[in-house]
Amino acid sequence: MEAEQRYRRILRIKDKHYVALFLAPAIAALILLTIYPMLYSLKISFFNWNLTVPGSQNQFVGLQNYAEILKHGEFWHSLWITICFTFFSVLFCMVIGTSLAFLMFQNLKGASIVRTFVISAMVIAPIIVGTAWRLMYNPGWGLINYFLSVAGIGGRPFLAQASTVLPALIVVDVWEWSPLVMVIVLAGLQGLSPEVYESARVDGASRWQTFIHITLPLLKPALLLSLLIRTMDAFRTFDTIYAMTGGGPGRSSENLNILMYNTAFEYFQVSKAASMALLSLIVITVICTLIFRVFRRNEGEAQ
Amino acid sequence: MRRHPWLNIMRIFLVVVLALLFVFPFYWVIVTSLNTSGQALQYPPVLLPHGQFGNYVRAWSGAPWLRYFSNTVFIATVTTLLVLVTSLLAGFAFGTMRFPGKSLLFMAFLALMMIPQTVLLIPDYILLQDIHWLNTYWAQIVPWGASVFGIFMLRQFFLTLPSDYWEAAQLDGAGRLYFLWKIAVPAARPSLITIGLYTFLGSWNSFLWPFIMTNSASVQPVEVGLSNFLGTNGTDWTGLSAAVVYTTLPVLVLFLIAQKQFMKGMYSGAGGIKG
Repeated sequence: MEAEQRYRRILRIKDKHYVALFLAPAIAALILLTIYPMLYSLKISFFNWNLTVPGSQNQFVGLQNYAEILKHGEFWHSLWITICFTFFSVLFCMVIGTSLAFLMFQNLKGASIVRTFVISAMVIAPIIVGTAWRLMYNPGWGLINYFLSVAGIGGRPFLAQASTVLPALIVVDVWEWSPLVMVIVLAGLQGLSPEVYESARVDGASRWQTFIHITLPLLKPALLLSLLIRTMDAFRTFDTIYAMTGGGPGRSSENLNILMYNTAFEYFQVSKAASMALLSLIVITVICTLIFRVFRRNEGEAQ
Repeated sequence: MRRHPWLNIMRIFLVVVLALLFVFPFYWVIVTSLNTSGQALQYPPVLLPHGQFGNYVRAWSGAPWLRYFSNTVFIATVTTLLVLVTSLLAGFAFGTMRFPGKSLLFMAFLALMMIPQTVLLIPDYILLQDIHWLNTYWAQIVPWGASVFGIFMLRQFFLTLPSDYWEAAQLDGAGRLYFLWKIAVPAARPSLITIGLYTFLGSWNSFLWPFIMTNSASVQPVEVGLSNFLGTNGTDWTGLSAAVVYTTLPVLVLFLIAQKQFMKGMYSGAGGIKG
């Protein structure tokens, strides 16, 4: 303890220039790469800048971009697509990932090989995953339709139909990211002490009771972490959707990120796209705060 | 606890099915990449490979893959080094030094660097255009040069590093930089490896950013190369499958080699957030 204090004291006295030296790169990065671009983004959102129209970056329009975005349907449509995609993808990822973690935790023979197989799905680049699944979904000779026909269900062009494209994309996202939930929950499980189970068993709790009343509450930090990571990632999915449908057919899989990409880099309306980006940042921040609140409220007795 | 043997068999069966489910898409891509285009389009599908390595030759000669791969390796390596340096310095400062406003600054780091890069895409595109960095390596490296994950992880590490280390070093007359390089860095090696691995993988796999910031093959990474290839050779299914296989392979091999560190990183990451 004494050494600890001395250590702190030594560090306090002659630290000033060292602190500056050590923090400079990170602070520079923070200002140049995050704060400045954010402020710049806010600024251009008040203008009517189109990259192909010279001088348009000086056309101040105030809040008109925001008003237009909120008035027209495309933003709401994409927001709805994004929320549906995120909700179902995260839901299935959590259920499947957690189940996988429990399965893997049972020390079965060969579990580590299976774990390697499962995790390899998420280390592969999303753009490659999207391309591979595009082959799988091919309506003419893709494997998915073949399996469905073997099972007696008629196949269909999943990625080319407005009614099936979102579920088809969600399947891929769940396939790709359930392993992440599995790994985080496995980490949580490995952190639990066996004594807790012992005492629960002594008290005559059934397996199901132990699971609901002991394991799940103890896993809360891991579950919250994976829920937040998954929600943020699913909300901003781009690569896989771009590789498989590009937002189509029509606009039926055009999530916010694809919409922003199209607005800024296909139609060159950077001001409008910047406004959309800031609005979507607000939405995802609200969603994450809500998730956090709900979890914390339930945790009342533990904290 | 005793279990019924058939319950165990069921469980093993389930695990095997799951494993197949996760491997199958790639197995099938490999099969397609080794069949003739006639076999690839056959119905019912051909589920075994037939050694058509010509697909690989055709796909490889269809795009400047060597260029793409060297670009990716260069970008991922430099980004990783940069992240390691910035994380080490900032993590060391946050973990061992005292200065006014430290916790506020740290919170600012965590909050601001959580902002998704997709929000910064548009302003950064314009800013990089203004300084003539579009279509360069820099545009793909510098914006990713600091990582909140890295800073956080190293701060956690240095908070738990016993002060005896520093005391002993001081007795030997070691300065701060000497201490950092000779004692702190070796001690932090496991964390550094984990951060490096994740940064490298993330940089290697990124698509949207280089896709927007670059337009010529001379600086584009392999993921963008694959997307270009998909655009121009989209109907050459067997060649496309071959390209998917060899673009996937390096990352898979890296993952298999470093699997232990990869999992350890996950565990320490998940453990660090507790409470």
